[in-house]
Amino acid sequence: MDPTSRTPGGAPPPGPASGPGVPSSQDVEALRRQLVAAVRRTCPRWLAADADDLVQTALLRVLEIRRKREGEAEFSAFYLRRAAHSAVVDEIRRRRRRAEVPLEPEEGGEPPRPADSGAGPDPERLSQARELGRAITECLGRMIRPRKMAVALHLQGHRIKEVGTVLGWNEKKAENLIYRGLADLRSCLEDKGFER
Amino acid sequence: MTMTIDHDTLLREAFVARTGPGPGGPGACPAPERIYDAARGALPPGDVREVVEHLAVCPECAEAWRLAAALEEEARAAGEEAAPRPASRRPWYLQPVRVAATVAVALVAVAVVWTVVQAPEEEPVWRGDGQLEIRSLIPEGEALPREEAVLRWTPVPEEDATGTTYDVVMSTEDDPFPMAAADRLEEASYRIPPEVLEAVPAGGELLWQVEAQLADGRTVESPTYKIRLR
Repeated sequence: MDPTSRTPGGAPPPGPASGPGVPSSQDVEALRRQLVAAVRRTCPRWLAADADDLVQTALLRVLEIRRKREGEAEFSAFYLRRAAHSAVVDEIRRRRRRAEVPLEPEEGGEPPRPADSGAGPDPERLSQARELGRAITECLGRMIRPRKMAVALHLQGHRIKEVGTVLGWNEKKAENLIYRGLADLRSCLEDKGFER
Repeated sequence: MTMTIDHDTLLREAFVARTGPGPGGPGACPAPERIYDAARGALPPGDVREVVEHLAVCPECAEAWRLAAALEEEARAAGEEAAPRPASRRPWYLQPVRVAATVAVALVAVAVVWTVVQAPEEEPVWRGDGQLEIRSLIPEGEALPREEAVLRWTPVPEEDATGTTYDVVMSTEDDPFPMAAADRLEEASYRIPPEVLEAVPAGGELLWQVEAQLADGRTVESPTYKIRLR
């Protein structure tokens, strides 16, 4: 990574742009730690295990872009975080596609396992979860818009108040829509054969 | 199938375990930066809802959202500054498309007023116990023309009108899974888009229900009403 130094009260050193709003190497290191923590919290085990390498690859890409743009508009810490998020998302998707295995078994053999099933303690549970996940997607696709959005954020882990804040609703409305949306979802899943 | 679906935890696990792009493929997905901005609340509300509606059916974008939310939490925990809010937009009256759309809506509203059947006087309704009630203003037995199927109901009192919005949900008796909805309506009426009614045969019936969201947090729900379509 190209270090960026600040010289308070002095002229900026030659090389990468520096000055107010330009992240230092400490900022970049802090961002790297935050990204690794975020990847470990949100990604499947097989990706999370590789979080350090994944984040490093993504950050190098972002900093290379920054290096090429030295002298352009200031590169704030927020902008760096946003760009780093984007690069990590791209890297995750690239690794996931690379790890995809064919679903059809080879002749006379067992179907190869999905990339992350080997690392999990219960592959059958994972398989059932995926089947349920596909059904959830289909049911959400049919759901009316307000309930779809409320349930999606609820399933993402947001609390009722957060759902309301994100979607511009008061808490009571968010609660109602989550409640009714989940009822719709369960009804749809029952129709698909999932038991209550 | 042995998985039971009663518990939220199980539904959440399954939702998060989804993989792959959504319908329409990766080309239909918003850019990760847009997802990040939406998760941070740095987009206008309509744009945020668009992103959320998409991630409901797109596992990859749902994951990008979770990553953005987790990253912002980590940044906040580290004491970093909040993301900047979106730049203020041009006032609506300087946005040509919105002006044209507003004028068009006003003209349609005038046309509807001239053609609609005389309705009972629209006054708030109170139950005997002093609780506010929402009632349909469509005369019983009246069949609505599907080209101009307008649902109307009693409004909230004038002193509560500011900030009140209405949500309408519609379904048929054959399928209680709601077929359409409209939310954040500011008037006590709603013209059902004709395309929504395509699934209802001539002479068929539609169930509808309204919920008022008052500015003070109260909600008032109407009974479920039934109307026939010509």
